[in-house]
Amino acid sequence: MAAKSSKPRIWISNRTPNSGAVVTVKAMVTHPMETGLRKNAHSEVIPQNIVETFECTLAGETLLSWQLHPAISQNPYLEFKFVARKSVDLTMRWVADDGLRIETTETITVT
Amino acid sequence: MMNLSRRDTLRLGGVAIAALTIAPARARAETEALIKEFAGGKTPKNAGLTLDIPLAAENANAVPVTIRLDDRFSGARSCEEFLLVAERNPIPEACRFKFSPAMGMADVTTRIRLAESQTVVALARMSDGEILVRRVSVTVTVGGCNG
Amino acid sequence: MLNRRTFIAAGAATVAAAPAIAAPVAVTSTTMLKPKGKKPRIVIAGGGWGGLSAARHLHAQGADAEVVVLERNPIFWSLPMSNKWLIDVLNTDYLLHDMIGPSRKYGYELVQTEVTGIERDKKIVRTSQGQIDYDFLIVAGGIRNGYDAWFGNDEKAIEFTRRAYPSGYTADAEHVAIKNKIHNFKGGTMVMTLPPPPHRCPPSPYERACVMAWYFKKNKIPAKIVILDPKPRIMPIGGGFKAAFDELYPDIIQHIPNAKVKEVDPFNKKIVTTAAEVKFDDAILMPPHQAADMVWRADLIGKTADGKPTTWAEIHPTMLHAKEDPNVYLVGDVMGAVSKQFGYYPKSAHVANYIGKIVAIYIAQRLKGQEVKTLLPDNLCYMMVSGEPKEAISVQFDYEIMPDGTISQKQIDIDIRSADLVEEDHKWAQRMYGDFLA
Ligand SMILES: Cc1cc2nc3c(=O)[nH]c(=O)nc-3n(C[C@H](O)[C@H](O)[C@H](O)COP(=O)(O)OP(=O)(O)OC[C@H]3O[C@@H](n4cnc5c(N)ncnc54)[C@H](O)[C@@H]3O)c2cc1C
Repeated sequence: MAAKSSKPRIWISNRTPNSGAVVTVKAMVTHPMETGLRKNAHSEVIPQNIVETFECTLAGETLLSWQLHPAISQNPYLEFKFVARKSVDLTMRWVADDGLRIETTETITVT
Repeated sequence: MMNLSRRDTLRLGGVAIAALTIAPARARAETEALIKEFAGGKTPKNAGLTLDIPLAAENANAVPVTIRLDDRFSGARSCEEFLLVAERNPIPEACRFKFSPAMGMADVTTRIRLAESQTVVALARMSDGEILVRRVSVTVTVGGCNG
Repeated sequence: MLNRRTFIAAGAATVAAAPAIAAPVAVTSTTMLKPKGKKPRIVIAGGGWGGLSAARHLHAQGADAEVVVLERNPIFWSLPMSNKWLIDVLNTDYLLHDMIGPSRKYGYELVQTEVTGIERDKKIVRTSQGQIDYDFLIVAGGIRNGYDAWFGNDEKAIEFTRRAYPSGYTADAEHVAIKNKIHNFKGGTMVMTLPPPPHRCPPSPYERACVMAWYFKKNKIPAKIVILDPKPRIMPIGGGFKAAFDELYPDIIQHIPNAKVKEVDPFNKKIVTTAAEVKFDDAILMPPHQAADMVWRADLIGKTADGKPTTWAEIHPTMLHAKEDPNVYLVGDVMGAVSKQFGYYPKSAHVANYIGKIVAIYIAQRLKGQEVKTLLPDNLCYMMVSGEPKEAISVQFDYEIMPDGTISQKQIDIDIRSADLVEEDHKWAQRMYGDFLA
């Protein structure tokens, strides 16, 4: 079942948190995370193809960055928590070693 | 879902070779070097950090791992970076996380591949230079609980 | 009764010349269900997901043979999607399917009968309507509920449990009983015992807990659902189910891991497990699953190293026939372990359908004198965790042949619940029904 779409799956515990509340974000993209360590039937190495970085930014400032290596499972999954302080647009961006970019923006409104 | 003919070609074209594992001595050396570089000469403290990972992993292709700084960030003290190492994987460095102080806390979960049973190490570098560490030894089981 | 008789008689031409108005003919040990035909005959014992999928694809794959399906049920009841039907997210039409139409369309014969024995040395299947011989046999009887693990041969306790606390894991009226149970529950503790692995559709008991919890929450029923799970943690899609339990139903669902059943007292509503002892007001008691009776009767059950029955059929991992009998194939949940790495294929409808297709191809290749080329299935499963908004999680499995010839499995859990997975689930179901029931 190879990747069909690179549409990220995002789940946010609370999009309208109170100031100081903890918000959980779960994010997943479809990607093979080919390690570069496997060979095919003709003994040729299957080239590495992985998502190398994930970044979550707000207003241009990086909140969280994640550097991935081949140990990360297929369809890389990330869950992170942060303390909500102000209303923001969270931009999440995945970049793969072949130049593939996946990007999505989610709005959090602090009440 | 794949249709059968596609599956057939896949099978022929994509015979997988088991992930190569590396010799224990080299693995240890590589892990030690990684930790040394990350710690910048400091001695890691075995406190303040939680590494949550199953002691027995049924699906070695996707082992859930949580790394959590026990305390929230306060004032000038925050967590700058996490490093996750699986010392007997072909590439021991699994991933890194960098946090801005604006996060207010450091608590992340992902899923990793483990080539075999081994010790998984999580390290945290604090803004004041302190290094925290947690090690958990994980057994990769070969079970029938394949969901 | 007359109708059924007539239908059967039509397929049982050797019954002695019948008088104009025939009294039912007694079935004896020599009564033939069908005489030997001209073409090779493929008999399929059990017309559920696996059996009907194989039947549908045999001729399409070019098998020049007579195909006869032996199935006890008169109508097809889909177990997949049935949890959603329990809480009226789907209606009955979604699950009930005609079997006669497809049998005519795809050119196989469907006989409603009970398989009572399989004699592999004589290559015959015994049924309640007489015996039938085969060239190839596909055994696809699904599972049996292994109540004996709890009650030994205490038939009274078994019957009481079956009626009072049905499991709802086979295609029968137990599902209606469970639906009524949920709709009439006034509150209190509802206990679910989960079967130990391997069992039919591993994520589905958690799905059932979620949909029940959603229903109780919506209708403000003061209910608590206690899941007694023999496994050390929720799996598969453990993260997704745990999030649903904790975030959506924190006051309703209690999941107890490492709870292996030690004692069940259905009369006093009490269960003792290795993790906890619980009293219940009502329950869905799922005993261990085993291969269907017909597999035991055919003497196809594997043995463990210490000589005990594995309770599943011993099969060739890639050729899919019985270890000791290349003319007998095993399709669906009856299949035993196929790999040292992961053990069993998931016991799912998706896999049963896929393996049904693969076995149809294998048999067709053999009938045509061609070389049989290994094919592997995959698996895909969607589980609803919330009824409103409708949200689901999912798991997929991929298989590969390793250089040493063994099969390796890759599992991907999609733990993030979302509405689009509910849509994908419907598409999955329609694709499946469309494959062999349309
Ligand atoms: C609540 C629930 C939810 C599920 N959800 C999913 C899902 O979302 N996706 C998925 O892929 N799978 C799902 N499954 C699993 C799926 O239903 C089974 O894995 C699948 O039915 C297995 O196919 P089978 O052919 O082996 O068995 P079955 O489909 O059970 O077929 C066996 C047939 O044999 C017949 N039979 C047995 N003994 C005899 C006899 N002696 N004589 C005559 N006939 C006999 C039975 O009547 C039955 O029709 C679910 C199961 C349950 C219970």
